[in-house]
Amino acid sequence: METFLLLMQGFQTALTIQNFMAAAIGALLGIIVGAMPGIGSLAGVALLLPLTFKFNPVTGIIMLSAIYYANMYGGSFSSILINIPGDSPAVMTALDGHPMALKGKPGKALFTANLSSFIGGTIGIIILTISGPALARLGLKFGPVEMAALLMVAMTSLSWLVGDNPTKGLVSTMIGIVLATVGFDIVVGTPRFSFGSLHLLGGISFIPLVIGMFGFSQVLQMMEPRDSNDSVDQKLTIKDSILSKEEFKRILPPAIRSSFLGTIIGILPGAGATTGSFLGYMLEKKVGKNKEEMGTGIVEGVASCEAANNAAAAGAFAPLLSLGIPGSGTGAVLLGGLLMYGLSPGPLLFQNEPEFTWGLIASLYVANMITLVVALSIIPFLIRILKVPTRIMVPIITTVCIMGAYSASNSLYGVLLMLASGFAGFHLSKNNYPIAPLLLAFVLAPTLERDFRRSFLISDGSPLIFFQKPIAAGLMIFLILTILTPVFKAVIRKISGTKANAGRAK
Amino acid sequence: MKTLKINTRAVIPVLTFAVGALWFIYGLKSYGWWGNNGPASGFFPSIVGIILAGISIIAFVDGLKREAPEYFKASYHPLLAAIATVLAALVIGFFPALLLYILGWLKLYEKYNWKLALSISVITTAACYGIFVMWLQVPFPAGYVFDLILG
Amino acid sequence: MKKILAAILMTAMVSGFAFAEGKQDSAEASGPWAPQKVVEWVVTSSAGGGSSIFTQTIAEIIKNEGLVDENIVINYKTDGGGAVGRRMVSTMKNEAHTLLTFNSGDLQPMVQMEGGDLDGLTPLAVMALDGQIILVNKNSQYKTIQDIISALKGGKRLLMGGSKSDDEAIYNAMKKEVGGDMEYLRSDSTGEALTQLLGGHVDMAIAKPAASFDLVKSGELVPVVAAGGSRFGEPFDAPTFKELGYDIEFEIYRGIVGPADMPEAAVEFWTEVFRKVSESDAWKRDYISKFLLVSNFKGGDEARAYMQKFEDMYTGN
Repeated sequence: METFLLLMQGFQTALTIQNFMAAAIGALLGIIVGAMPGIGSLAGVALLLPLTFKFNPVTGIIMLSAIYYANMYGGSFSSILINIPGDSPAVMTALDGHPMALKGKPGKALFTANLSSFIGGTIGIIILTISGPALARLGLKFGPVEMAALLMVAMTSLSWLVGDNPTKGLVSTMIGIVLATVGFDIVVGTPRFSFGSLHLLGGISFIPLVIGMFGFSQVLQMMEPRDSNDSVDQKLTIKDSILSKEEFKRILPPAIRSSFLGTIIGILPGAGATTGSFLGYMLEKKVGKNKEEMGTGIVEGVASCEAANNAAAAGAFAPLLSLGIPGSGTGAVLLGGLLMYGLSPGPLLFQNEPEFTWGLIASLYVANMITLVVALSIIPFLIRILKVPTRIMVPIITTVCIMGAYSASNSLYGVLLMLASGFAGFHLSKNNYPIAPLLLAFVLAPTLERDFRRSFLISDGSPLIFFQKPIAAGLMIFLILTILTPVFKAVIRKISGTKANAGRAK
Repeated sequence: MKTLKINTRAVIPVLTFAVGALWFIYGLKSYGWWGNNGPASGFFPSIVGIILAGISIIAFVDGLKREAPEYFKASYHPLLAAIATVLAALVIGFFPALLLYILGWLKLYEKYNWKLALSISVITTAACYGIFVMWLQVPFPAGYVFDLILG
Repeated sequence: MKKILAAILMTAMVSGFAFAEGKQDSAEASGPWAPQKVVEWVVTSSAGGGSSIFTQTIAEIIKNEGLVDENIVINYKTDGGGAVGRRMVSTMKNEAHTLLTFNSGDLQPMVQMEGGDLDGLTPLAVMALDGQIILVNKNSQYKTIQDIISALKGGKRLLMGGSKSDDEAIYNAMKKEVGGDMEYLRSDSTGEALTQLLGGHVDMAIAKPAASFDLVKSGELVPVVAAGGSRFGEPFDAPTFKELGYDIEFEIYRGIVGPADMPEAAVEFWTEVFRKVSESDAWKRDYISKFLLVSNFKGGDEARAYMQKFEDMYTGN
């Protein structure tokens, strides 16, 4: 009850005209910056942070959180419309979002993304309100051993994404891991696979890689002669963007499931929004009603990862506020922002500055709401991008790719890396190697390797540690069961002699 | 449209096999497999390397049986244009190079009229300049020529 | 027609910027040197981190106090873990308009992994010193450094967390001086190391006071030993290694350097600018006291001599 009263007070602080305007401006700018490939939420928040210093703390923080949400909305826009994920969580959005756009339903895809983001954000914030500090404590239980076990589960579920050709999916996954091993090895503190290059010393940067693999490789593909239709010909009206009642009903279950999952993932130290959106999508692919069609461009695919992504972002606020520990790079920048306002998030924040803390949580609600309104209202303008003829899009997308790759690390090396990944990605996808597993393995593998090896450091060489800690043991048992289930099924099928005809559409 | 005939279905596995083998050997030899009572720096890379090399062989055998996908020379034109733009950026600066690239591409390659080519290239470049340089303050190379002028 | 007009306007705008920059070049005045074009300030870690806050604060003060007329643009060069940015600055010829934020955590990888050294750079200023402290969890069975030392002497295996940059030197020194079975769990950041400590996954962790202030003040974490030459104030009051009779003393610095080939006049100008910054109230208020650092300005040759000590330590000379 006390929490509720404090929250209401927070709303009083948050709901002023000035704050409203600040949030709206923040949302608009955040969407623009987020939609630029190369400037993900990390760089976006960092770049726009100075803008918020012109206001008083409450207004500034509202604007900052609007920017944060809007950045992630923006990331999904470019994923859906031009198949270039703005940053790593948006890789999953592209899987179903872009096919939807190609089917002539870009408006619906964007609408689904925004709505599910909103649901994810809201549920995440509600959970945060009710039990933020307690959950943050729980999150701390996830040390290297638990994280390694969790990531082993995540990595095995990558195989569900592989599709009809397991060999090629595995090749893609392995290439992703190989690329990720280049650079500084954190466990022993020395570089590896840098082959004497200074650029490789810090590893291969993700943003140029993803812009090349998804965006630029697609430009190369666009150059191929195609059948008559040059662009999406269908009439794109605002009315077509609004979801029907049936579609709305289809979105809800995956969005809600993913929201809870995403929040929990967000609270874990070092897991982040990418793991959240990935696991949200995977959960839907395993338990969803239309799981067979995932990846072909259906609303569930967009809803599951977008909801999880934003819920994870909200969840990441729990350790940030109550312990002063950022769950992600973006969190670190937000923490820097809070420090700039003279506040130090940590165990004392809720006690020392209740007005501000609850004002912040209330402002997260407000920011989320305003961002949704702003995002929805620009959909009609955005879908016109798809009406631009391919011949004109080619140089423009190339320009956007070059700009994005350059500004990721302010160097032409990023551009060259982007062009090389574009070349590689083009040939891989021409030969039916899936790109998404490569990028996800690239993101997930380093954490897995690091925490796996740290676990051995902790246990002094005993692999039994994965079964000695309760959370890790639970995850390991789950892992073993998921691996063994198909084997058991196959055995049973063989014994009974009936072959289930799994008609898989090509 | 001209097409190229290389069987990439077989070439890609050869390359991935080479990478896998390299990672396996380097991982074992240079970075160590097991040490200090736990997996060492080369543990993951060498396991991943050997798996990659192994499945590359399967992919190779599989690729030989299939027909190669069709390639078009036009696909490589944006790549060449982008490389030329990057090289030009070193000399005349980032934004002039971008402007020239979009203009040249639309006018000379796609044969649009001047009006359209000019307006799209100028608007795109100006938008990029506005967002990245004026607003976000990302520093871009001015180019060799400008460096000479500015000293 | 409208489109063409707009196009011409845009072109004029774009080229206008280029010319505007060109013009200022002619305004070369005699007398003491001052920047004549936009100053590029290279930071080799990402926006939002400690180096970025340090650099932004200084740039802001320079602007507010009107110390430099030209614009200062911060360039985040993060390729190769910062190696590329450091190499870029050190190879510049006759360059007066490039600065580089340079901390002890930058010097160490530069010397040990990138094959570079201070000869490629011109130290301009050391702005502040920071200290490190070893912390334990409040629920830990070890309450003081004596508990830890006797556990180590008794053959217990202990884990120490810390960041990948300048914290590890303390671990190495402690392992050498105290002995016993210790392992270092390297983290990307101090925040990550503190998370491990809060979750009880390591026995102790090294941190800077600023990063752990709230956690220590609230009693979640307990300081056991300071790595510097003297004790910190409350709430970080704990004995130093020196007091305990161990030869361990570390401090870390935050500084600014330029390329080796920076003209002498520019070196003097920048050193003076940073001296003024370090004397400003804004600096003491918004940086030093806010992040619990020790203000300690060293300019020019003094800064070089100071940084050289660190280089000798990293190379083992």
